[in-house]
Amino acid sequence: MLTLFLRRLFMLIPLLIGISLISFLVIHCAPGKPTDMQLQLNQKVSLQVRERLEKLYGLDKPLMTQYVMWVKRLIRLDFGNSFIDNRPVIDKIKERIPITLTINILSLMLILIIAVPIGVLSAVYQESLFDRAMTVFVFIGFAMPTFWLALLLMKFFSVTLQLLPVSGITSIDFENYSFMGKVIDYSRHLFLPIIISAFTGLAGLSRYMRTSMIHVLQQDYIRTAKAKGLTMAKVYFYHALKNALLPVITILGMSIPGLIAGSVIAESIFAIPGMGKLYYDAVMSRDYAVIMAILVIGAFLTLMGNLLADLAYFIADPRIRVGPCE
Amino acid sequence: MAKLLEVKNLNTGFHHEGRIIPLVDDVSFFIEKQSILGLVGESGSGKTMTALSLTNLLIDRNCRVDNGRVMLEGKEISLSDENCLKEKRGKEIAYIFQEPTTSLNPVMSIREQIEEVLLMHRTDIERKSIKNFIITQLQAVGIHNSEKKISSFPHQLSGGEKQRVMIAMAMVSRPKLIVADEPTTALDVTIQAQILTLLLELKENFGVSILFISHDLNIVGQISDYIAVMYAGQIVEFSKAKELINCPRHPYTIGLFNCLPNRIKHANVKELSTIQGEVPKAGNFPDGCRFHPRCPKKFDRCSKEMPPLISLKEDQEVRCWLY
Amino acid sequence: MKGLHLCNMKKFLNHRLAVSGAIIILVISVFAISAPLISPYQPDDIAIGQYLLAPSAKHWMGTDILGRDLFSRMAYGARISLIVGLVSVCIAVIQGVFFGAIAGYYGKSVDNIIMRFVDIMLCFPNIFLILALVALLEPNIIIIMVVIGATSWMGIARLVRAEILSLKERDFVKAARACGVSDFKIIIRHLVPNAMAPVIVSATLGVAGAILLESSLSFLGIGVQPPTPSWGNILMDAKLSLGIAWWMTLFPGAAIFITVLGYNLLGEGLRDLLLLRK
Repeated sequence: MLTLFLRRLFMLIPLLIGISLISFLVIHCAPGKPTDMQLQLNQKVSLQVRERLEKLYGLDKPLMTQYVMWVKRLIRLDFGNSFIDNRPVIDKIKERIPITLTINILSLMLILIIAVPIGVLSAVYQESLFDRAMTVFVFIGFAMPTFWLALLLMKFFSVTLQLLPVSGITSIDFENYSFMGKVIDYSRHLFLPIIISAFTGLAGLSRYMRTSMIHVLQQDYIRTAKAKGLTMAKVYFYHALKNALLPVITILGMSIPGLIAGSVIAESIFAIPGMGKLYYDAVMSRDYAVIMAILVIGAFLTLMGNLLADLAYFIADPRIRVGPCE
Repeated sequence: MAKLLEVKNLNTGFHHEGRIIPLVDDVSFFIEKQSILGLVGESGSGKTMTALSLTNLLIDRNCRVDNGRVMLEGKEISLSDENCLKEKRGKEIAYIFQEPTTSLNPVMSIREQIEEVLLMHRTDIERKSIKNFIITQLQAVGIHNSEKKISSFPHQLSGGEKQRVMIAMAMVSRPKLIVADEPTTALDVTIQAQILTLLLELKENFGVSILFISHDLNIVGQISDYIAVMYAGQIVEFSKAKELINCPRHPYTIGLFNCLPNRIKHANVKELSTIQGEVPKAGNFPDGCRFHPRCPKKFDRCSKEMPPLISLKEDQEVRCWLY
Repeated sequence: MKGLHLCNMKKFLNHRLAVSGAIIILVISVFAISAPLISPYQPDDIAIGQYLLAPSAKHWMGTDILGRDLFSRMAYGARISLIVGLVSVCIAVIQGVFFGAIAGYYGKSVDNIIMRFVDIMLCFPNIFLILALVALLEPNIIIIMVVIGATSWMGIARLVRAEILSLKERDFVKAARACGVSDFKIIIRHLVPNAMAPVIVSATLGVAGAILLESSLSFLGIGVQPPTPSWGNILMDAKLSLGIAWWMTLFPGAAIFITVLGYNLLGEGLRDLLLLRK
């Protein structure tokens, strides 16, 4: 298993190089130089300043040299300073990442808690009323534009019922709340964003879980388990589920880019100061330093997510964990 | 000898759009205590369906036991009552399946898979001695190095070892009947013989009865006390093994013997040959006797009326108009 | 051949999912094509003082913040959504089939390089890459179509590659190669047509995805730019009038939902008919 995992780690190297290359090219192949924007924002900047800026970013050097310089800084997590407020990009991102990760991890947990039982029950009671209802739900989930759902929920919970805050992550008088008050305030603000982040994934995973479970239920070992006289609960939720969950681990890993992408929409609708909102604002103000940093970090997070999923798979599946013979 | 299991008029069908396709048609047989009943027939003849119907283990939702009684030691098993069936499965009637490789759960250790049978059916064994009990049971079915093997996973064992684990798993609850569905078909010939010997030993040592299902008349002939021959969902001949081997009555049984390359010598078998034609598919059974299109001895009546099971003498029945 | 075709048509018409999807798509397409005929107003006609009127006989779907007729904007917006959906999927299919076929046919290092490239592209959360590209290249409808296409071909490439890997071992391909048919001809004439079934399914579902993406971008203000109407940018306006004008939120959102649903239903139906029934 160790060799397998090391080989897997080794495979990351070309991917990492590829990610950095593409991020770099995306920015540099765009018409206009990154410094143009800074000049536009500040009309007073003279030609001399412009030259100095170009030197600072190494824009006068050949593309290859620029790339090497950029990668060297990347390894030190030095993404340069924001064009907007001149703060180090890495600091801005460090502030924002915890919120985005919290939302994504919570919605991932929500997805798992709801989608797994739905998928299992749909498979066990295939073609039942429940299964049909869930199929309809899945089609709705796939077709629903999340930003529209967000608007509808916002209208219902925040405007009509006035139950939840419209946007932001904390109330104005947050500082004065007790500890419990703060927790409640956070959860009131995060409730809708988490639902929105989870919605599409929920439909997808419950569908996937159903397919996986139907496949497992046809296997011989399920018949063996039944023949042993085990309770149906044990047959379905232990013998079958243990096998059906294996491919789901990989799917979860693959769903990470979707979740991260979703946070751009959810965070900008609900004005949540996370990485998605930071990225959106950076795009709107053409803050190249931040765009480039988040592009790389987003891809890196995806890569790490996939790696974690593979590691989890290696551990969960005894056929890989313990070799064929002792 | 006393009867352990009695099956009467068992009917299992595949239900599709209001139609019922019979898979097991009016099957009746019995198994004596501490004896082996061999159930032979070509693939698709309904052997496995019969075996699964005994405790209603039909996985396909469209398959259902429509009719029939199953009695274990004189007490009827209610085939529609899941709770009642759960107590019989694994505890009184245990199963061994054809493919040991796919019949064991790939993500659970051997110990875990045997342990759950014990926790379910053997409350008399203390929890802390369970591990030792499993080790001795694995030794008893001929697994060497069982202290180590107990914590392995199915993919680490050979085919023969896996089938031994299946047998141990079936035996730990000390069932009265083992249903062995083609237990040796997927194994090498040398391993086959070992597994057969093991089953015979279990019968002698533990007094268990075995319903032994196989397409191989040779193997069935070697170990059975009684033999039932199935064709197209029906039993066509049922009698003591010796009787059936020495003097097969039904043209199909005779045909099966004729097909054996290393024929057992007896009067009715003349030369090595094949049975013409193919096994009819369920749902397309011919009228009259289901074997008549392939039968060398058919006459008018065979294509018009289905013959009943005719008793020739005690414990011998044949479904053929010749008798 | 004709009989086979008719038989397939009959199978299709008997498939409830596929037919309901096709009907939805047909209705929306007619709505889009006939936009100039059925719109009572020009989509960017501003009626002074008539802003945020509720639906009435005069304005079937009400008016927006600037007093423009919402029904007319919805009809013209349908054109944008459908065109973006279809064209960007075409781009993705061409790219995906090209890379997939080459990777599958030539194998070895060509395959390795292309598939690693696919892996790398899949690491980028799609909206991140699209936002960056669109923002850098100035958002207009052509750029949007190209960018959506250029970031969603990877799945198709994988499908085509897998199909071709199994097809190229078949006898008719070996025979063609033995006869000296050129690689290009083998790929175009023998391999790609036989690998199309999963591509058609994936492309149909891809249209749904592309429509969702375009509307998300427009909603975020980085897609189709006002005054050109698109369902997404109408919803952007709707956010501002969330509490007061329900029609602004309801109609464009429902239109996106129904259109995407239509393509998903058709796609699932085709999957059932083309892939699973074989």
